[in-house]
Amino acid sequence: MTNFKRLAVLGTSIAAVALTAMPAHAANPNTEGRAKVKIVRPIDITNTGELDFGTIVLPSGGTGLTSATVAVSAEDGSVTASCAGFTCSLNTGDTSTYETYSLSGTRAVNVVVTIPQSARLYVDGNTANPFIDVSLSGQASVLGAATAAGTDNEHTVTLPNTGAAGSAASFDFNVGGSITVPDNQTDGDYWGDFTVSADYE
Amino acid sequence: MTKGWLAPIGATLVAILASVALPAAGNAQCRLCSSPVTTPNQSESEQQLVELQVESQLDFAQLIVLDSGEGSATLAADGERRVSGSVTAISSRAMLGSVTIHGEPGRRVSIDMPARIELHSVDGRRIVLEDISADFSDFPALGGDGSFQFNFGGRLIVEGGLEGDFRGDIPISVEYL
Repeated sequence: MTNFKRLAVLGTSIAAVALTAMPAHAANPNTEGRAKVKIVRPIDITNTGELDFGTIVLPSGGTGLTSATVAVSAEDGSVTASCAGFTCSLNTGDTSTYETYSLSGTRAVNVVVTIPQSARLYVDGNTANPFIDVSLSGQASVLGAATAAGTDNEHTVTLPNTGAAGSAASFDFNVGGSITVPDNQTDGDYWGDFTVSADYE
Repeated sequence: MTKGWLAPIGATLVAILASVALPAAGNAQCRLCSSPVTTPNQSESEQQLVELQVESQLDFAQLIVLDSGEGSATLAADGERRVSGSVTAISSRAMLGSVTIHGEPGRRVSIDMPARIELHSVDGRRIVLEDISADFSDFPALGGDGSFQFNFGGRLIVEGGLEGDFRGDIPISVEYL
């Protein structure tokens, strides 16, 4: 009787081992692909103002060995000038005008603002006339550091995430620059256009 | 006396333990799969289970949508891209979804996907992804290496003035023919 009980106990233990045996590895014939999209509104960019370097009077008998430089800050329009031998209407400490851009788009999305590194000004705006180049710069305090991209500078900016749901986000930024005029530059009224663009990243 | 009784018991124990040895990986029938796996004229121990692996999502990236009117953006499985209505452009970063099937080399499989799903934003808005399709024939065969890869795409329908991030899941299943 004792031996029979012993066998019964052992049989139960073996059955327990069989029930807890590890299952074979199960592959997965079902899965879920995912689809996603980010929907944004079109970017709108407008500008006002004018980048103005004032009037620069050339010295007589210019040889091209000297030059005057006038810079207009994109931050606040403050002027820095170096006009020895010339007469400049704008001097260091003065304030001039600059281009101001207003950009709007979808909130909390990155945009890339592209500003050309330079622009060409022609006498009377006529591309067949003498020209002079000006260097351009974006407002660093708003746009951040620039990344050179060919002949342009690119700034990546995140549109603010403020305002009512569904409303556009916007911010303004300025563009300034500097001009260097040699003492033998052809006189005249110089002006020209340049293009500032913005795209979602 | 005790030794004599233990000898036959020991032999019985050995026989029973041998019968509950762990099966080799991959040979036992899968009890956890929702789709049954059948292998005519093949023993269960020789059958290789089929499985899916998602390689990439169907990603429309950024869609620029005008303020009004319905629009659509299509990323077709054959690579075609087009927009209509209030959708002005598809980003160059948009990409098709991609899935790889692993199983027995040469076996034909049946792949099932819905034709339409909804994508949802975190604030509960919805858009529709329809005409979901893939770039395979009706019952493709697994290659010599036991794998088969396919791409899938679809057509998004959006309302003008809509903004935000939308996501949705596309259930995909496969089974041997």
